[in-house]
Amino acid sequence: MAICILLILPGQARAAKSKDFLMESKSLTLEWNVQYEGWVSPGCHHEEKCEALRLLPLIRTANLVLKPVDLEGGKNPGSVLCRKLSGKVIFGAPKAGGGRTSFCQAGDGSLIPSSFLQRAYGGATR
Amino acid sequence: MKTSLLLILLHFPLISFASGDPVEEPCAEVDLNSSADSPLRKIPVEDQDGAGICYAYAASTLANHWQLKRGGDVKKGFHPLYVAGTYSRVEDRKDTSGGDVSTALNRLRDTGNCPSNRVDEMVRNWSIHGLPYADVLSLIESSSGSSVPQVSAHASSWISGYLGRLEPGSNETTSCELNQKVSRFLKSLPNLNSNQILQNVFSKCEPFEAVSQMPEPSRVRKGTDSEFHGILAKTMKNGDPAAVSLCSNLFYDPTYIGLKPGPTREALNSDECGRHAVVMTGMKTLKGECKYLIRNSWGSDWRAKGQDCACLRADSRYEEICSDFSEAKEVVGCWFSKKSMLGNLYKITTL
Repeated sequence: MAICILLILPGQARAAKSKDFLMESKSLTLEWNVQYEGWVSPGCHHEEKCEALRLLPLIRTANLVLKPVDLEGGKNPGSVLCRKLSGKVIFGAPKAGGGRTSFCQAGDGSLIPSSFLQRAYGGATR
Repeated sequence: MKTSLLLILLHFPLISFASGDPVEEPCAEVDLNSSADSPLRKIPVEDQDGAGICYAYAASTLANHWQLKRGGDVKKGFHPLYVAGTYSRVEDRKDTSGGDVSTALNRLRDTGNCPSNRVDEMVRNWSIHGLPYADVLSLIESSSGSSVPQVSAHASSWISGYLGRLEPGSNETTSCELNQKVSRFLKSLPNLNSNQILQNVFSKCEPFEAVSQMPEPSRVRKGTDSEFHGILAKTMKNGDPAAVSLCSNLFYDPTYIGLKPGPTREALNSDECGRHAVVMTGMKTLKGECKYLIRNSWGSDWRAKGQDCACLRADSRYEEICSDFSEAKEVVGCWFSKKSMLGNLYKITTL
């Protein structure tokens, strides 16, 4: 029993990987979400604590459909989906350098990469 | 009998050549991202957000690569928003969404370039206090499809939303007086379409940098798979990227084939295809198969379902197949099998 607790505790206490981003002009430290493989706002690892993650199942339950016109000109489907779900798109880039990427911000201020939405949607048009 | 046999044998190579496909170009075995001094390392992977200007992102990547290869300065390079603006202005389009990479490059050659550092500055300063970049793109998106003097319902809703964010007590740090100025400015926008918005942003970019020495782009829209593969292999071997127009449904389903067989390269179902322009930056045999490396404009974290992707790590090491995305500074592209790419690729543009 004691051995089990000792084995479990270090795993639970392990801090998530973090990285500093410049979001528009503000500095923000994001954490790596292991399940979805992307940088999210602190604590955004479970749906209960992160409204932005709750947008993902909404894509299916709300039966959200993107028409060809919604994506004309190769629009980023993640950004289009974010706005359709009443999220706000914010651009961010790692402070240490690297390209710009879009994040989706939910009403509670939580952030996920818009690519999470694009992957959850699963098709150019359906 | 002997003579007949000899004649058949002599003619066999000719018969074979006339009836079959010519020998196909081998896999180029080139990755333009791998060298530390590759021009592509200086061109960040972009995110076009909800603006339908993939053609401008692909065209600016080709133009920037061309310029950097000749020792040019990345700060004075080509900005996708400016490319879209020039294209729309010269072609007199009401809408910036959707376009042709080759035409965009030709319009740049005709009219010159506004250096990308100037464009960034103008975008920042636009609309009095400077809209965040995502909001500029959002405004362009929401204005797409609207025609003067009408504005789409989406644009009205976006502007209302933006004005809502400027209400006292919101997180905006602008003063009340400035809010009023911004409100007045934004309320004038419904009379503009997306092309006019871009012209408004770039109205102060003078003088233009001449780009007349840029070669005329080459565009191929018809051809067999073998011919398309040959063009791409030669371009890669020459050390240049190629803009490719394809069915983006492939990004979700690696088995997707969007084109009818044959050289016409027509879509089987244009509603389903998801037309998109991206840039090819490599061709290599990986895991026993010839693969094409595709750089997208959906952000530096974009990855296609079921595909290996290449990344530049935070420690500047390049990984052809990224081992840990949490260590990646930038995902520079994803590898697609030659077969699946050619089943979806309908146009090639090179410089």
